[in-house]
Amino acid sequence: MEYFAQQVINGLQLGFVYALIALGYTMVYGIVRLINFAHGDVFMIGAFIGFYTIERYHLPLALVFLSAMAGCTVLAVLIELLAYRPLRHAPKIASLITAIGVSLFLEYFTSLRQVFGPNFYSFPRPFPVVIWEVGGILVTNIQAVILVVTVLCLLFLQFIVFRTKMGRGMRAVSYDYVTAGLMGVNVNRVISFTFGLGAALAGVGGVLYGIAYPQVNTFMGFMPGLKAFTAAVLGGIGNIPGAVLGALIMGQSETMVSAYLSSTYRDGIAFVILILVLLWKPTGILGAPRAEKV
Amino acid sequence: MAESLRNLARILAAYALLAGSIVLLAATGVVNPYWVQILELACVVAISAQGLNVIYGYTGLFSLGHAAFLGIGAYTAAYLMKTYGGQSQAVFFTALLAGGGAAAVIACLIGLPALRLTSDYLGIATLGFGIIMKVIFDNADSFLPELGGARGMTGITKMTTVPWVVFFLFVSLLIVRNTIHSSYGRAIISIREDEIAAETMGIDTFRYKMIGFVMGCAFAGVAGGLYAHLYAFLHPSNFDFFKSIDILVIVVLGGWAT
Repeated sequence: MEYFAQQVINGLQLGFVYALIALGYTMVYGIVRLINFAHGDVFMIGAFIGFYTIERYHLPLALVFLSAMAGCTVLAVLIELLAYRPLRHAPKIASLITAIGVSLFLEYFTSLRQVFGPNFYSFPRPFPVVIWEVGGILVTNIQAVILVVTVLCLLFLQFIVFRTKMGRGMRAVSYDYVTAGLMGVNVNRVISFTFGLGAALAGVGGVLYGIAYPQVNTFMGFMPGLKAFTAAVLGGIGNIPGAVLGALIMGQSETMVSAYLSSTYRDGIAFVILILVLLWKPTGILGAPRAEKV
Repeated sequence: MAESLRNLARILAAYALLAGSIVLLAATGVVNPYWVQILELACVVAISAQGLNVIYGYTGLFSLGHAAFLGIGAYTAAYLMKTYGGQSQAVFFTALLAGGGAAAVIACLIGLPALRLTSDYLGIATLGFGIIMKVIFDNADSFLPELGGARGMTGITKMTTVPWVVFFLFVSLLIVRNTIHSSYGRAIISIREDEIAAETMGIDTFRYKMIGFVMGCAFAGVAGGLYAHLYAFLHPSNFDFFKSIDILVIVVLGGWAT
């Protein structure tokens, strides 16, 4: 029982990091209907910014998060501007392949020796690890930091989406892109903003991932990216609470499979769950059914 | 009747010309074995791309897991050859067909639920399926030691030759061409153009989607078998997500539905 509870805690830790990445996917998909494969690599860049700001400049933790957020936002807005915007009205497959291209570019460009280099780097601990024992379960202060930072990010996101003018613009564009434009919403600005916001969250996720699993390399973004995307679909894509729920399910299932079956099946089980959920509810757990317009 | 015979003769002539010229070039040493291998690989990839073309280009189904079917065909054919075949050409042919068959059966099983999903969700489901298959290949040695799991499968005889790949390429092109110009093909294309309209016209969209999907996956399976016996070595990472993307890029680059 204690072992199980311990695994639940570990799963939560992983799930929260996935949640931060999944939010970027779900928002971008909700607005432009694009699977942004480069998002996982934006997450990787965030982890590297964390790595450099801690290792080289010894910045305090809050500044580390802020610089990762800023760096990722700039990167994502640039990607959107240079790679996706020219293809906005092209067939969907063109944007999708471009997204994969951007993803591969980021992975291989940053693994050049002049940029980050192809090695695995060990991520420095920004603070000493403290372990608390709560009723036989071990909880680290890393997990506490992840929990607090993620919840703050979610509240912040909720505030932006539902309480600001930009958030209203985002909801309008995701509901109907053309009509929103006619109603005076600056669609391009909203899309850039969404990419930036998603990337900022991914940057935070990258730093947290680096702190929790202290190793970074330039190809680290692919699998978490894919799983976070799956999590977004699982919860109902375009739906913010859904993405968080999906990510928590993914984190739990993965940890449980590693704990009770075998870690070699870890990557598979998440997708088995995804397919089962899609069969039962094709738009995800919290996704609203969308009627097809003729 | 006479016309179809003449067509057949023309196709056979083209086949003999292409295969013959490659063999001749290889024998006279104009192209070295490395180039021959690349030509063979090109044909193998063309077959699997033709499969995805049926799925994506004609039927309009968005599949990101094509490499998984390539892998299923490759492992099935390689396993059969290793257990029963040795060097026999007849067994090789059967093994290739079995590889295609296995891919088709699994496509059927995955298609039954997955093809009810629409566009992007289907893409994600097939992507997930591709990753599940890779995990299975990675762990395959725990139920069939011959498959080698994450260490890769070795000891496959090199059976793939120019006549074989060109033969299968021709057969696949013929099947695709004839299907697309039949009533089945028109039904399939109508689904791509507008699924709801197709359904209103009384076309059983699910059935035709299934036909397109299974056919495309069977091609991938055959191509996988040829691939296995071309390099005589199989590794799960040959059939990962990026391979699916490669094939997708090939199809889009060459112009889909052509």
